Amino acid sequence: MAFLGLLIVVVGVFSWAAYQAAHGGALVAARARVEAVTAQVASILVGNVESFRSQRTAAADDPRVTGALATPSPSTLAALQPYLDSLAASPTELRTLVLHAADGTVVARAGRAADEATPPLPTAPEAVAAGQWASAFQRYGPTLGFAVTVRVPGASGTTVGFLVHHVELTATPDDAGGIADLIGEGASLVLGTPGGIWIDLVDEVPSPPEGLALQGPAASYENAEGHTVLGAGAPVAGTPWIVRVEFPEDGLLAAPRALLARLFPLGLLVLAGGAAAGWGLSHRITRRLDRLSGAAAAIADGDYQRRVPEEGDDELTDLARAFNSMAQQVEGAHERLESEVAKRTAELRGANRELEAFSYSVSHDLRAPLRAIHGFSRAVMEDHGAALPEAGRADLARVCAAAERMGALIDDLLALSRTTRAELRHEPLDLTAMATDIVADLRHGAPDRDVDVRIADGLVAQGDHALMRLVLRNLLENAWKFTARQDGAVIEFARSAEPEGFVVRDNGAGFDADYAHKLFKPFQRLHSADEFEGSGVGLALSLRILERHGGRLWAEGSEGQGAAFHFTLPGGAP
Amino acid sequence: MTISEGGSDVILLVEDNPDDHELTRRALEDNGIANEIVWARDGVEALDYLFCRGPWQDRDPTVQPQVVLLDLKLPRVDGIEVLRAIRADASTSLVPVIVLTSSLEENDLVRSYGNGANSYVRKPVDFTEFREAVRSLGLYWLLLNEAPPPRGRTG
Repeated sequence: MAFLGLLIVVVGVFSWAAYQAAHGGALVAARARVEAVTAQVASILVGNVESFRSQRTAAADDPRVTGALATPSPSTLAALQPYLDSLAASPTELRTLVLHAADGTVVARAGRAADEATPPLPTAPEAVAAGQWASAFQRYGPTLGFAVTVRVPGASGTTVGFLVHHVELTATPDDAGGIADLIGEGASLVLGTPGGIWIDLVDEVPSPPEGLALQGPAASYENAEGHTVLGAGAPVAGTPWIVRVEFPEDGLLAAPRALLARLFPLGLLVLAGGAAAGWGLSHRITRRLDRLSGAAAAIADGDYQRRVPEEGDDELTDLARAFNSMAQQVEGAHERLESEVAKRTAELRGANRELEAFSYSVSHDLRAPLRAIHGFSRAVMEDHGAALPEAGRADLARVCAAAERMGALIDDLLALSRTTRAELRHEPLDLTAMATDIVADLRHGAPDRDVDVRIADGLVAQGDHALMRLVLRNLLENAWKFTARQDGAVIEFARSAEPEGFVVRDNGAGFDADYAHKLFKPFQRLHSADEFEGSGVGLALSLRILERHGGRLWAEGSEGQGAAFHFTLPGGAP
Repeated sequence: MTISEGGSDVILLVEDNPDDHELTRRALEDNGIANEIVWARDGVEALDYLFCRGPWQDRDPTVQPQVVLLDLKLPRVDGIEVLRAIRADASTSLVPVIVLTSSLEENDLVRSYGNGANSYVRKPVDFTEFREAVRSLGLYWLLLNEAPPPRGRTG
């Protein structure tokens, strides 16, 4: 939006500049025209009087004139007068004809207004000598006019007198209008002398505004009527007059103003069109880019079949093409990956199933002979034990014990393999109940033992029931086992300070902390079989189960100071 | 002592392993259970007995075992199939069947109970434990448990 405003301002400035230029140009042209017209008018005016002047210049050279001037006497004057009268008879504009001596004194007069007071030399002798033959405009009673002064030459170029013709202005309004029209529409013409009378060829008019440069290049100003005009002035040769031609500025500037009036809306239109086109173009580009980024996001999200249309024929089309081919690759790679994964999963499942079947049959098939070994050893003991020496009975006892251990080992191995195979179930677990159950079993199996078991209330978690039962049983059995030689045995199962953490503590035999890292390795035992039985798989099993749940298992303890087995189970309620 | 409540006093032991058979027999003997033990070595022999076929065709069909001790892993016809056959036939469908096996696979548990086994007992390696288990079984199934009435009789 601000951008649009800026553009409008730019168009406005541009239009204004164009207008100013046109205006300036129009003004310059107008000025030139005005000046030319003015000069033309000036020469026309001169030309109008020129013939009369030259005529009278010749007339002034008459002996009667020169004689009267040289020796003014009644006889010379009497000879002069009729001549003067004849000269004054025409043209009709001529009012008075006065002959002055070189010093300005009046010598003779003629003409219809000769009785009126004789004005003094209208044009100073120096001026006449310089070429000025017309005077400033004057009033003769009610009428306006001016005086044409002609030199009376004497011997060897001197001036002996002046012949002054007072003429009236007789131009009619029509004539003036005609001239004005010739000059130009709406133009006006004034003629006059600075500080003197100004006429428009017919009547007196107000002087031009004060301070105005009367001559010189055209200038704009407010005329006497208050209109802004463009006027120029030019001197009229041989006269003290300055002719000024004025054109109303409005007329002159109509063209540039019309230009501006057309230019500005046109400019805005072009601008709007341009902006719309530009925006349309950029929008098209933006839209295509948006589509591209949207498609990229969709593919990242998993829609591998997403493509972008390849429209047009520019760099964005190339980009779209490249994108599509890349998407194709991604889709292909994803499909290949999926099929690989499916294949591997199937293979894995197959392998798992085979393993399961193998473990199952192995454990089953291994157990049967074990049972036979154990059973028949006992049978021998019971049936024929009396007949055996002590050593024989002891041997058989070892056979039985070994078979039992192997059975436990097989069970543990089977359980260990099952934990990695089986799918983990996630169900709410009541660990308090589970532990209480296990302890009850332990007590039942060893009713003579007096162990203080403290199980905290409300121990809950999330996990696989069967597998977590194995863990708890392992930990509690261990605690039970290793407190067997402890008086005042105490086993505790409660929450630990860890988030989602639990702990099984006992005050039994403990373990050498230096070897703590071996605790959780399968078949690693920190006590000999004489001290405590166990296959050494239980903790490895528990660790694996907990890890599968996303939890941890670690132990603290020291020799003779009991042990604490900590574990975490995600999903344990706070 | 023979423990029975009318009907038969036969314990049908379906077990392919001779050692296990011998141990079971001993365990029963050690516990003073003197019921006749019929030993079927696989599923086929078991069914032959139950349905008076083959070598057992002259048997009285109205006399059914008081209890069947059934191992699962048997050659030819396996334990689950035997179980199904027992439950499918009206003449045998009520006979108590105890699955006695070394497997503790959940699958086997589900299938056994699902097909109508009355009980599922795991054979321990330790013979003492086994003997104790057999004693419990004997006390319960042969003494305490009310056997279903023999078929062929009304009411």
